[in-house]
Amino acid sequence: MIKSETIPGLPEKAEFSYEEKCRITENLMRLIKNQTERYNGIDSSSISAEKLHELAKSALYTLSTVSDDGPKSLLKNDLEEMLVYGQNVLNKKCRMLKSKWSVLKSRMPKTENVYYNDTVKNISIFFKNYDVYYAAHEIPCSIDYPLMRPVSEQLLGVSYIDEYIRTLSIESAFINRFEKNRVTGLYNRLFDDYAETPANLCEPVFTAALAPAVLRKSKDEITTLIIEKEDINRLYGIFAEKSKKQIETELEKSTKLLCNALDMQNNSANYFVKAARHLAARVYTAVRCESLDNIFVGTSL
Amino acid sequence: MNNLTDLFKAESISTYETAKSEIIACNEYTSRYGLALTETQAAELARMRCEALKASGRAEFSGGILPKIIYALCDSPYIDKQNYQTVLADLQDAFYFCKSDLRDAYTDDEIIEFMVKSFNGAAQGSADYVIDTSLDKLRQYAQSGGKLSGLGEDTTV
Repeated sequence: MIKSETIPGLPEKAEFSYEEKCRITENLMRLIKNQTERYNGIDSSSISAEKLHELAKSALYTLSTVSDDGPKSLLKNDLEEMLVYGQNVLNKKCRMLKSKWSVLKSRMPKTENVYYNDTVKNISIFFKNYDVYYAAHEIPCSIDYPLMRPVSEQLLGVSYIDEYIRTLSIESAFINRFEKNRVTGLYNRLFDDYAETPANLCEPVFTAALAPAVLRKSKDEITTLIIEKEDINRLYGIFAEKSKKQIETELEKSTKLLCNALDMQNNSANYFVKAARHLAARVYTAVRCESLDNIFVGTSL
Repeated sequence: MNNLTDLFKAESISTYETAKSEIIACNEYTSRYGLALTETQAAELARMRCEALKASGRAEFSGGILPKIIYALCDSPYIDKQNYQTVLADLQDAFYFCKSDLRDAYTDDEIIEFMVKSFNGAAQGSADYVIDTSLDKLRQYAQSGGKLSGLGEDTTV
């Protein structure tokens, strides 16, 4: 049984007249018919419904990556031309992405975490198996390492991997700004066996560095990743009387200071500011539960 | 409209007419064997094709597989005016189920050749035998990763 699925690239409630709907149906059917014939070759006149849906999703995802005027693009009669153009764009994107991945590999933090290492390694399988013609929407490799802020599930194919590599590069660059033994000391305090734990490696480093930033400590103090008991008491003092919104504002401000101290680029800083907003709700609750020391954990060194 | 499932519903209507006219067009060739289908019989086979596709979870943009089956089967000594439509309907059904069941492991031509060989051979004109026995053997054979050319030598299928 095939699940009812929204066409990639089309908003759920796109407004079309009856005539426009008919034209879109005709255009798409012609395109998908041609795609099916190319896929089957002379071997088969029919296709399984599942494969047909996959071919349709692939073509529609490709179209969505090159549609200048959104869903209205589907009204054009030359969808075939648009598809070929889209496939060329995706191929080019893939090549560029491979370079980004090579950079990521050369700059990845030296870690024993198998989830991190295997995922970076597995991305090579994506480049090897990615089928831009008949399965452009798929991600043919396993991505097991969780990011601090997960990539939207709405993203497909190359778009997903692009965003994953971009985010992982930001997180990796952040971790690299700290000494390896301090970072490992932090993981060892948090996890029984961090090498085998499917946890994000950036978030603990970020929160450990954020605490001294909230306390307006120097860059040297921030990079030690040390959080004393007294620091936790001072954090209670800062957050105790604040509302959730005020905590969010404070964490955002401190994150900007932290990123500035670490010479992070603007787009990277924005990523951590978003992460700080997410952290605010946890900090608010932890203040009330007197468990701030569970959030702001420093290194054991 | 924004739904993929809705999008494919319209297509089955348009291919019904194509299927019917392609079946009728075969009469020109099969008449030399004394076989021809009436408009009503062709319409019925085209309708059954839609049902077979739906039941086997498949889709088809062209007129269907029946013309290929007709050309391969019309010179069979076991086909006559009386059983022509019934055999075609049975083998058409079996063909689509077989394609799905075997996950497209074999091409259309390979499956048709196998079915016709079996129909004219071990099945001695029994479509039921082809469906129940030969295609079952084919399924087992496919699971073992065998090529159809290897099974073709087996006279018991």
